Amino acid sequence: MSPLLQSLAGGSSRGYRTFVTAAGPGFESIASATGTGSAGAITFSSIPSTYQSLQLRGHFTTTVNGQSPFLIFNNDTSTVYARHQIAATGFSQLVNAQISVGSMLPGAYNGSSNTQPCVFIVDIENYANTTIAKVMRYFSGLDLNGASSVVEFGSGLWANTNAITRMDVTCTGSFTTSSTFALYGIKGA
Amino acid sequence: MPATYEAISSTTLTSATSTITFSSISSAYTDLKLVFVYKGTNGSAGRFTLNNDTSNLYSYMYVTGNGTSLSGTQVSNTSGPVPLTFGTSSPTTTFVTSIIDIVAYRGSTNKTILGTTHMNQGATTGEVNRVAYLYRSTSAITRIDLTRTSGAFDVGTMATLYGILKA
Repeated sequence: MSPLLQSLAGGSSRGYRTFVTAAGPGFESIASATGTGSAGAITFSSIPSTYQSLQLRGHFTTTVNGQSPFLIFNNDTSTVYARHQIAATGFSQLVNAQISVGSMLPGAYNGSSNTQPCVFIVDIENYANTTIAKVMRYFSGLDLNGASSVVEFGSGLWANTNAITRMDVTCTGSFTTSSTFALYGIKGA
Repeated sequence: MPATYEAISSTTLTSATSTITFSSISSAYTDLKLVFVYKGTNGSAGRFTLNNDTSNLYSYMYVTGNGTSLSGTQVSNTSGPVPLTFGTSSPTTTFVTSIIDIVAYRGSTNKTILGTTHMNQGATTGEVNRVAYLYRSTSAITRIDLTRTSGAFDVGTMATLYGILKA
């Protein structure tokens, strides 16, 4: 078996060192889900309140081009969300804000793809706190090998002090069967 | 059974080195995260290559700020290794931090990779960027090479590859 890690110094000296450490005992997998090809919603429910923060990692294509994903908490579709984002496409850069809307955006603000996967990483701090509104931040990208690509990062506000026990990722149309979503919990000290 | 989030491999350079290679990457995880803290022996950019593939199957979309302006550009059909930074020359005195997330690295779809780099030289020049890379290959990622446009990574450069496993 070849060495797992090599450092090549101009080919003149060759050495490697390999070690494995347990880096993240406080980072735990809560649940994961896969697209069905016929549904446009992924639901994580009964989220335990035992963590300090949550991370949602998504990798998806949609059956129809141009479908933005949305994120809601606790099945709340009322207009108590706000969105802020910085984004760039091959055409322009933009900053954007929307208030009093019915969902947050975790990425692909200008639409998903049915061929190339969009990836997003969402972090939600203090999700179980019952005295503060919840803010999430996200980083997302979708490169289409062309100008319609997008890279973006931003935040979402859910103006509600309830603990988050459920989150839904939705899209118009359906998530393909190659789409995966995974929810992780990060423990506090 | 691998842990949910664990270091697969790590190195800290004790001599200047032109290439850092993570090979034979296990398929036991769902995602990979590479944390790379580096500086060079000259000002050229850090770069990476997947699966030792230097063909033009890569593309990327980036947004970057350099202390005076914000810009974004898409680059299509480009060859590996692809850059981690896009404007300001890399510093030779301070370290650059790049984080690369490869979600679904072993999947049978093309690979979308998220990159983040922070470069601060204690001057008005610097760079903060976010990048979406696309690697149009359906092969699992089993190798990552870190290189520079020219020159070597300097002593103290650190690279750690983590595996993340979903339920």
